Amino acid sequence: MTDIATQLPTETEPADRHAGMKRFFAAYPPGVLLGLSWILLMLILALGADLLTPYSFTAFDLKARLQPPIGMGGALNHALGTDELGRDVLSRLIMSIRMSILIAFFGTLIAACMGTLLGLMAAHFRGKVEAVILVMIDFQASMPFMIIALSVLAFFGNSIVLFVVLMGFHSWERYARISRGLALSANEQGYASAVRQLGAGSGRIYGRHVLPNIASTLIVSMTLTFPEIILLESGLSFLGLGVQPPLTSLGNMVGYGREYITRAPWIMLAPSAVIVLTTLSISMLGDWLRDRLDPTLR
Amino acid sequence: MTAQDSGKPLLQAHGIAKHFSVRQSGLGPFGRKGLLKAVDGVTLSVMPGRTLGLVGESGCGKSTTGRLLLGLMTPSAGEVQFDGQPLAKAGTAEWRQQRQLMQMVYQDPLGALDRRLTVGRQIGEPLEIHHPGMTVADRNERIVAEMAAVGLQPHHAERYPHELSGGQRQRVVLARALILQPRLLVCDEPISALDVSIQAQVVNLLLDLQQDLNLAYVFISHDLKVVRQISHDVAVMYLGRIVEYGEAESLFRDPQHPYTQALLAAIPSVVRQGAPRIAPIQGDPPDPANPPSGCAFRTRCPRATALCAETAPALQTLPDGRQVACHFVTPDTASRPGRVAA
Repeated sequence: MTDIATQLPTETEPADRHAGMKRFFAAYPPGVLLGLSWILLMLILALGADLLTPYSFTAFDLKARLQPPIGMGGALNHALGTDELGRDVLSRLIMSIRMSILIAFFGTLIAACMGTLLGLMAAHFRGKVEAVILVMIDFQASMPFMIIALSVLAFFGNSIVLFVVLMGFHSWERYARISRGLALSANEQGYASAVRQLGAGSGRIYGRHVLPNIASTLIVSMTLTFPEIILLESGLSFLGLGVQPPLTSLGNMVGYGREYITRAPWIMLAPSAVIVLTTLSISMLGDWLRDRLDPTLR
Repeated sequence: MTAQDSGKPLLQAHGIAKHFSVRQSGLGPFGRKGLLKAVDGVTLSVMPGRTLGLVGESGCGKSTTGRLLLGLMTPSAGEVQFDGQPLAKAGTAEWRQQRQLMQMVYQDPLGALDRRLTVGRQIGEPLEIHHPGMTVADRNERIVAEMAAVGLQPHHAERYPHELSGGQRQRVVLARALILQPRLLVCDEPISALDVSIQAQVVNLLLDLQQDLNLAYVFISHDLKVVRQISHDVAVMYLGRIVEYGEAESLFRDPQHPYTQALLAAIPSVVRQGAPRIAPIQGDPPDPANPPSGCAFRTRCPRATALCAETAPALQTLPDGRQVACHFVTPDTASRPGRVAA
């Protein structure tokens, strides 16, 4: 039915409106739409954090300490309740979302760019360049990242820029391995060697042909590392090595809310829910994007 | 087909060889390093507008020879000359320029095309590479013209490779190779991945294009019938060497080398009538990393003697211009058609 509707698009008949809806939901499944709206909401919150927070995220309200959220007996003035110092959980949550998304976004971007570049370099130059890059990959992969992160933060202190760059070093080796392997197989046989044989330069081969063809794999990999970086950031912040108070992030909130988990679970539940929903949305979106980017699956 | 050009050859290869270093089989990662002579001293030439057929079993070095002829690999020894000039080193700017004159057609057209770009874009890509100043309108005009020349409809330009049939894909690859008007096309098993009915179409297309454009082909195939139909000259390869090389029709009518005879005996109903029955070749070719001493074919040759195990026969030219590498075929014995002198 959808096929017929695609071939004969007429807009006047009401029966076609049904088909149009069907087609729309076939292209954008409800789960993807929900995920997309959630991510949009997160982006809006992150971008407009200063305007959207009802209170300053550091403002104390000592009279209203550990006030429960609406639905658990709370009042409207602190919709998601307050923490042990009487700080508004909603305001802190919005600031945390901004911080965590900033870190995860730039971390993923740095890792993807660096890893892909190194992988393509290894595949292109082979020989010594490849050997060096492979050793770097193996080193990175064999070293628990937590240890690297801890030592870097211990030696160089902590600043947001350093922290973002450090997150960027997480999982770059995955992109490097993927892009090297795919570029090698493309170079050895098939479209890339065919284009090289036409007389194309390296820029055209990698930019026009190899990269778009391996992009879907890299994008899926990005949607896997994005949540991982959020979780890693949460873990480090939880240990007290990530984002430092008074600044706040999702992991930071979970970490400090842990002490009150029995008496005031909302402090920890709100950021946890955001972490789960965001990572889930991104994974779903990545899967859908991979299919959309592949013309053979259209 | 009959464009007999007695001028200078378009492509000449002098004793080209390609050696790969491999591990000897049997001991896994601890095996001794060995030298695999994929191609070992091949000399041949292609005239403008003519077709050279390259035949042999799988693994005999046909495809490697094709890649060496195009300069896609650097030979370990020997030299390839195109139009009197040696080929530039692969990857250099000069080498890229030379691509305009020589192109390759692949066995697997789907693999040779980028599945993310429309067919029209890919056919026009050589123009983007070599004539970046060309306007889009001019380029589209050339694309449509080239598609028409290989028998594709203009509306195919918007399709993606996976939306076309195998024959259409091979036409796309041909159109892409031809859009720069090259003088030489190396076709590496261009039809072996296609249906039989489409094979005939593509072969006829190749023949028509040759007539119209005075193209030279190096046609690599193990399908002897097609090679006979399309080639002016034929070189038969065995384990990286040419064992018989000559004018196609006479070579197929009167093969001299025992290997060629056995190959031809393996095709049904081509040389059967009248000629004495020669047993089709048995078994697999020997390991090219560990070839037999002397004549490489002696392990499977019905006529092999002690001499064959000692010295490798050199290519000798017979009175009619045919070249054969066999101890039993000499200019004196070759006069008797149809059989090898004992």
